[in-house]
Amino acid sequence: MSSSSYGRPAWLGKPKPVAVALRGLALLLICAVVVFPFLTVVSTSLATNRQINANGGYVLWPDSVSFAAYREVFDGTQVGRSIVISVLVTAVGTAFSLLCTVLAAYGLSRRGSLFQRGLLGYVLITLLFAPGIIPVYLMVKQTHLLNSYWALIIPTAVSAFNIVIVRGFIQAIPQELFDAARIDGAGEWRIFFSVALPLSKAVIAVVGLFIAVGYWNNYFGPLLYLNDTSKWPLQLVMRSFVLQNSVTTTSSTLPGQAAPPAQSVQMALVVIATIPILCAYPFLSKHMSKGMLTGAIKG
Amino acid sequence: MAVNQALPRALRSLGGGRRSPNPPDAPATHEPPLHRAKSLLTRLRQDSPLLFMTAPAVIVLLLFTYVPLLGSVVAWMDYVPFLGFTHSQWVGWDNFTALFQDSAFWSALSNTFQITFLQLVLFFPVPILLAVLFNAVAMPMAKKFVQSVIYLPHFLSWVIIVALFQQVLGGGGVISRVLATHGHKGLDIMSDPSTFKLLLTAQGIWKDAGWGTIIFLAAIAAIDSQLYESATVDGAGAWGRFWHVTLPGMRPIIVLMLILRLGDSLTVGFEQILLQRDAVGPGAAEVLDTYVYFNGVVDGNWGVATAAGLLKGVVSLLLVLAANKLAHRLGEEGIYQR
Amino acid sequence: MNRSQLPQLPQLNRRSLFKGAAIAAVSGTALSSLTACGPGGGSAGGGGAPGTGKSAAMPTYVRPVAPKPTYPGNAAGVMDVYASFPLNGKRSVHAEVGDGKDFEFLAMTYGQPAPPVSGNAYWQLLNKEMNLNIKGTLIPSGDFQTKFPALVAGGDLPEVVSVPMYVQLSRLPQLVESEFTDLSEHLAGDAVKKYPNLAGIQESGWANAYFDGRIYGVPRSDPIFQTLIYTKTDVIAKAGADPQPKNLAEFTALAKAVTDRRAGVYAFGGTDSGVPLANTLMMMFGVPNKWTKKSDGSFVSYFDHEQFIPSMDAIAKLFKAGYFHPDAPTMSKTQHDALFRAGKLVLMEEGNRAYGVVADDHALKFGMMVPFEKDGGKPLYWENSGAYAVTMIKKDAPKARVERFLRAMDYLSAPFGSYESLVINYGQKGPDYTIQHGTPVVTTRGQREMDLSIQFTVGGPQVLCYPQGTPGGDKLNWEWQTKVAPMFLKNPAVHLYSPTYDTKGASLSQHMNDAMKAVVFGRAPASSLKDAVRTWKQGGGDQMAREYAESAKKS
Repeated sequence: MSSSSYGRPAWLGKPKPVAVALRGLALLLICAVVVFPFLTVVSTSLATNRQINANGGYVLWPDSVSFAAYREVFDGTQVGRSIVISVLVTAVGTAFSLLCTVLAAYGLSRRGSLFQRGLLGYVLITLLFAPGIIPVYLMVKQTHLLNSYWALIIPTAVSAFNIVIVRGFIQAIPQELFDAARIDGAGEWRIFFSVALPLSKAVIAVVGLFIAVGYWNNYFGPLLYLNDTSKWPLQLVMRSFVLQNSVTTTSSTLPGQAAPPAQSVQMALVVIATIPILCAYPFLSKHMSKGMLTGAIKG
Repeated sequence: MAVNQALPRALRSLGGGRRSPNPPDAPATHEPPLHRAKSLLTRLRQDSPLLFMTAPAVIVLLLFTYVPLLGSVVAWMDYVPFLGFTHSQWVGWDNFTALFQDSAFWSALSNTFQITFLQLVLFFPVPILLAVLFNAVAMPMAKKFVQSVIYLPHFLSWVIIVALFQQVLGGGGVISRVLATHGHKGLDIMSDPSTFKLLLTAQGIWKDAGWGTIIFLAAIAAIDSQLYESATVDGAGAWGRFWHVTLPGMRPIIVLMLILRLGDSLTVGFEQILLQRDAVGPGAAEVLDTYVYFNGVVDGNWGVATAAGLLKGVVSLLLVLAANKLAHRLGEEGIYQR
Repeated sequence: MNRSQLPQLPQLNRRSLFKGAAIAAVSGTALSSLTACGPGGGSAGGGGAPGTGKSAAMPTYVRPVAPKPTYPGNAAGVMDVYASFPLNGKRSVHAEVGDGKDFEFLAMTYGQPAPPVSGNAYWQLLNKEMNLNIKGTLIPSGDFQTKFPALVAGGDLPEVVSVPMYVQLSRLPQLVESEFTDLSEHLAGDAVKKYPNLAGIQESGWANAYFDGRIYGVPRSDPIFQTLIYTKTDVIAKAGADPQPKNLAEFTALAKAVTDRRAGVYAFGGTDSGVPLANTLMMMFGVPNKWTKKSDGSFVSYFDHEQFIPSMDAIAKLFKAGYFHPDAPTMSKTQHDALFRAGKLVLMEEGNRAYGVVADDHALKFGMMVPFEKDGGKPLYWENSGAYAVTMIKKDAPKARVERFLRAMDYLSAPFGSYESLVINYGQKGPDYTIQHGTPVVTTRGQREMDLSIQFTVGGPQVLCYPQGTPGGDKLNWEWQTKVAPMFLKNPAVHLYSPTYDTKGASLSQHMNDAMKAVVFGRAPASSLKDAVRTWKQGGGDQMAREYAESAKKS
């Protein structure tokens, strides 16, 4: 219902003030429940260690703002470089994965097409049975993807879950639209590009976001497949950052070395790791509310 | 253009959901009955573009899922990485019987199903309701803001979420401290085995309910506003519009998501549970994944871990088939048509 | 505090290592004994290469030349303690180390990815000093058990592999015999003298490098002290209590005196090492170090000791009395440290190494509690296994290569106070460290660069030198060590091999950990431990006892 994003449609009439108030209250409550913890994370990242210690680990509002944690995160570390790697892997990976997903979803959407049932079953089985870590590692090695960024992209590019969802939306497109195009003599590729694709913008944006977040958060693939630490993406660098604090590596025995990162640094990392993916959201959300009608008429 | 002429009727049928007027076993009207009679060659020529489109996904799955799945033979082996598949010993069904004979395995399985059940009842509807609520917000700015904000928790890791819950609800948390200063006994929600599963569900809702709205918002967006208009003309109020237009329009996706969730019944928040397991003990908190972790992974018993994975697959398969059948009964497409 | 040094073993725990996600670490580290296969340990499991027969002699120990310590250590395990840093050390390696060729190593890291060699002064300096081209495969500490088996299965291990001893790797002895070079001819007996710094590694370290009677690697020594209780003396003084109790009653009185629920101050927090206070209380109750070897050669588990259940019951009583922080069951390490610093936790059970954490903060007034017996009798203290890691060389390396790798390890094992030790632990003066008040202080850049982690792979005895910590802290620590050393009790099974432990140990430990926690946190009566121990024994504990006895007989 795209029209509502641009103003209130006439048919809705005047809203009841009580209903509006109730809804507003509900939204406010939901926002508060979500925002407060997040505020805690941001505040803790900006607070001084003294205040954090005094508060037992977290701070709701910093007494004085300190960017020391952020400086520490970037000072001499691989974090900056790893963000670039993560952004590139996520961008290329999302494009590749989305292509595979949408094509397959359309390819499997027409009932009764050749091998459709068999192929759909083939895809669905992968939802239920997952291979072990070692066999996948050996396969990545066999395909010469070890130590390559493609090892982060290709093995996880196709998810049955995403295919099923896109396919569900494509199947919800009125069949008449496809039939009409077919009567016009359009082939499958043309129907895909002129009917299915434009009418599935919303779900493509949604699944695109799922995929992007999946690539962005993936630390396990790089852990297994990238031996060269200079190629590590943000999540893995971040993980080592956080782990480093968790173990008391202190020793004691030799002088002069700095403290492991504090709570503030961990929180700063959370903020840093969340912002780029949040930046992707507005681009995609534009398409998410794209309704059928607008799409259909343009298409 | 033909497409435009076809629209109104098409959209009306969409608004009614996929509840096709035909009984589910009858062929859908749009499917030319001739199809089956055509020769394989003709069909191949006609459908080859579809096969081409599916090919990339099929190849990736073949390479990185199916071929590695052959490695599941280690479920019948005492697999040792440095000996490899060829030199490790075959042990028959030992890995499976090791699981079946352990009462802790059954207790973990029971906990897993209980948590899945709670999540289906308490968690699953939340994103749907939220999506409907957001959709009812008329102000675009407010809508956008709320939508963006509510996704945030999804990006926090469990370690942080558990710590934040503890800060509020824990025995030394904000609420307990307030109670203590007034001379009351503190809360022990975080370490009470009897309510642990509810706690898990609540944390899950907090983290992922907002994120889960995305897909349902897209489903709502796919409903044509003309349907709302005609419903209003027919005298439907806000509730009537929700009941007769929004909900039926979302139904196929809801059913799909439900089946997918059922297929994942045996997977409940591994990391989330592992982090909190010690507070309540394995009796309340051991689930299949943590059980497999302790009894397969940490000891390097790859065979046991793989056997458990296969069992999970089989159970999921049965659940998905059952759910799919139920969907067909209700006139839905489900995940796999008959 | 100092990341170039190693973590205290008992503090590693499942929960904290899980930060981030997924698979990690060791379950129940506090309980699991470290079972490397010591001299004469039998290769009892299937799949191992047939033993080479003759046991290799222990490498001859030659005390390294070191600057005179302020407080001298001793053979019993007390570390040399230096109140000031000995700069301008002499070279301990005089021969050429490398030949400009590659030195590929694998190690576990607690740090982040180090900057690449092109911009890494530390790495460049090491390359130059050793005339090698160092390349590292680094596995984050929480993920070792996941990635290592994949590398093994893929045949992708580099030539030099450092295996951390406390990460339980399934079937390690067979893995070692199948993948790595028997170094006995280079290291056994007087042969080690060819590598003077390796000869400076003590027996407690070498014992970890023996598999099936042969030497397969070079150890990284670890102090043999484990946990103790750090006391927040200022809070205790304010409460008018005694920070050094002499029996359980006084210990309980101390906990009671400092706990103030309204102020949010508690005696104990949750330790990360499995069951809080378990180590402390078991030692207090005279429970032996994991296993006891009886005169007839049979082995008895400490779970079977008559004081095991009473010791757990004692913790449960402390918990029930409210002396534990309410979040103890799920408390994270970070929280725990923060609460101790903030004075909200008064008695912190931690490793000896955590000394750096407390001594770092000059404002923090702390003491180190000396162990005692519950009724004031003769106390005992569990001895650690003596090695953090063992570094091995891949099989079928030609002799010349093996010798080159050993020369590199010799360099990396340089004793404290030597020129090389400064290079390895502090890098290049300027970019990596600066001298402040006569003490080298690592710069942020240096800290990042040293995440190369090669300094964790091998090394001799450790010393305590923390001049920038709380004044007087080093003396305090030395005195504590001196008092504790006579209480040492070894785990008789520590270098013996049990195939059952190897394949079931972690899940069995987890089982006991769960049962102990249920008792400690008041979810189950202490008597429930009887059943738990029975299950443990039937599930593999009895088998382990038999295997250790057999393994011991062979040596």
